[in-house]
Formats: sequence, structure tokens, C-alpha cells
Amino acid sequence: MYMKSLFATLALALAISSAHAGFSSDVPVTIDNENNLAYGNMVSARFSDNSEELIGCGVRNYAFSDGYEYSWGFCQARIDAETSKICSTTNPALLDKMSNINDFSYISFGWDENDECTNVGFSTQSQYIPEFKDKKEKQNK
Amino acid sequence: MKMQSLFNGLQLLLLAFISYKLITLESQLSKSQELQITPNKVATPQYPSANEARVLQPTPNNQIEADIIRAIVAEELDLALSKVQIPSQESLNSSISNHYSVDDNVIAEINNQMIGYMSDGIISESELKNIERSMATMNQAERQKVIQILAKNATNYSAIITH
Repeated sequence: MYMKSLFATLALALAISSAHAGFSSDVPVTIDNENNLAYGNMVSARFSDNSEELIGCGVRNYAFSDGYEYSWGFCQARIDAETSKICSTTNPALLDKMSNINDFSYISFGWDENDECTNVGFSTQSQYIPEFKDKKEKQNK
Repeated sequence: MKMQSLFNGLQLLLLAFISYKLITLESQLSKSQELQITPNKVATPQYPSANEARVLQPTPNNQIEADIIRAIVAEELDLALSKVQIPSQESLNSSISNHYSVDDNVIAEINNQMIGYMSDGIISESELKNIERSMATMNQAERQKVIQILAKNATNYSAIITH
């Protein structure tokens, strides 16, 4: 009797938790060439039906044996095989920002006429974390 | 920093001038006086310190004592040499690495190389490494120019950086 109640409670708890997964925000990758701005949610891009879609940033560091080094960074976004954007920078403040982008983040970046990054922004919030259950169901279909 | 170096340089010049005057003075003294200098004294001259020398009273005949001048010159020279800053090997290498320069042909060559890399739609780790190796000999402005070209080419050829 006790075990039955426990299972029933657990089943109810699971049902409630799946019904209330929390707020989620799907932000597909967008490249706005008029305003020199690209943005999107990493998870939305990763789990997009479009196999080309991506967004992210990276920092590269090249070190010499004599101790001298230099760094540069980039942000890139791609919607499909023909539509993509990359900006690059050596600006230390932007490099610092790029280095600190977390998993499951919303990312935005801008560029100037030289394709040099002018701004990088990211936001790490619960709504950008993937809904793993939905994804699993999607894959099973 | 530059002012300090200039000051040190001037100080060295002044000391050189004083040294020259001292030698001239000594030669004049040696002509006017017949000094008995033993070989031992020549080998290890015992100069009074500059402080000691400065409190010495002038000789009755008002002649400048060579030992006093020698002591002052030696002390000032030591002081001046201690102030001259010798750059470390590390800072020297950094400045060398940072001031290389390449001409436009090299950048054009890198541009062509990049376009070749991007023809398959990706810039791989090894391709990126090659570009970075080329940038290693450039100054900051040139390096910035190359990565701008990289970004522009990547956008034009819809290529992505894989890593």
C-alpha cells in the first residue's frame, strides 16, 4: 500500500514537471545586413531542422617561443549554405567578452564596413536551455 | 623614459668631458712637478672617497688635487652607469616581434591562400594555423588587416571557421 502511494506520487510529480517545463525562448539565427547585426540562440541553431544553421564566437591565441603573443577573435553566424557572416577583432575588450560566452547562450554581434566586430553580446538564461524531452520526442518522430 | 635616457646621455658626456680635462690637468701637473710615484702605487691607487675628498682643505698653493677629482669622477661615473637601463632580452624580443613589417604583396598572397582554403566552405584548424603563422611576423595594424580580410572572405564565400 505504502509502495503504491509512493509510485503514484512520483508519477504525478513527473507528469506535473513535464507539463511545466518553464519558459523557453526559441531564437533562430538572424543576419541583418542592413543594421550589421547577427543574433540567435545557440540551442535554437544547434537543434534547428536546417543542418547549416550555427552561431558562435571564438578566440585564438598565437604564442611565440620568446614569450611574445597575440590574440584575435571572431564571431560567426550562418543560416544556410549561402547566408553567413563572420566578423573579426583584436580589441581586448571584445576578446574578453568572446572568451566568456557560456553554453546555452543567446549571442548577438555587430560589425563595421571592414567586417571588424563592433560589439558582442550574450545572455545566459534558463529560457535558452534546450527542452531535452521535446528534442527526444522530435528525434523519435 | 626618453627624458631619462637623454639625461643619462648628457651626464655621460659631461663625465667624459671632465675626464678629458682631468687628463689634461694631470699632464700639466706632471710637467710642473716632478712626482715620485712608486710602481706599487701605480698598480693600486688609493683614492679617498668623494665625501672624504670634498672635505679636504685646498692645498696652500690652491692647486687642485688630482686625487679628489679622480674620486669624484669615479663616483659620478658609477652613479651614471647604474642609472643606464639595459633592456631585458624578453622586452627586446617583444619589441622586435612587434615591429616587423610586411609589404602589400605578402598580404595579397595570404588573401589568395585564404580563398583557396575557403573553397570547400570551411576554414579548418590547420588552415587557420597557417594564416596565424603568416601573421606572426606582422605588426598589429597588418595583422588586423589580415583578419579583416579573413572575415570578409569568409562571408563572401559563405565559409565558416570550424574550431
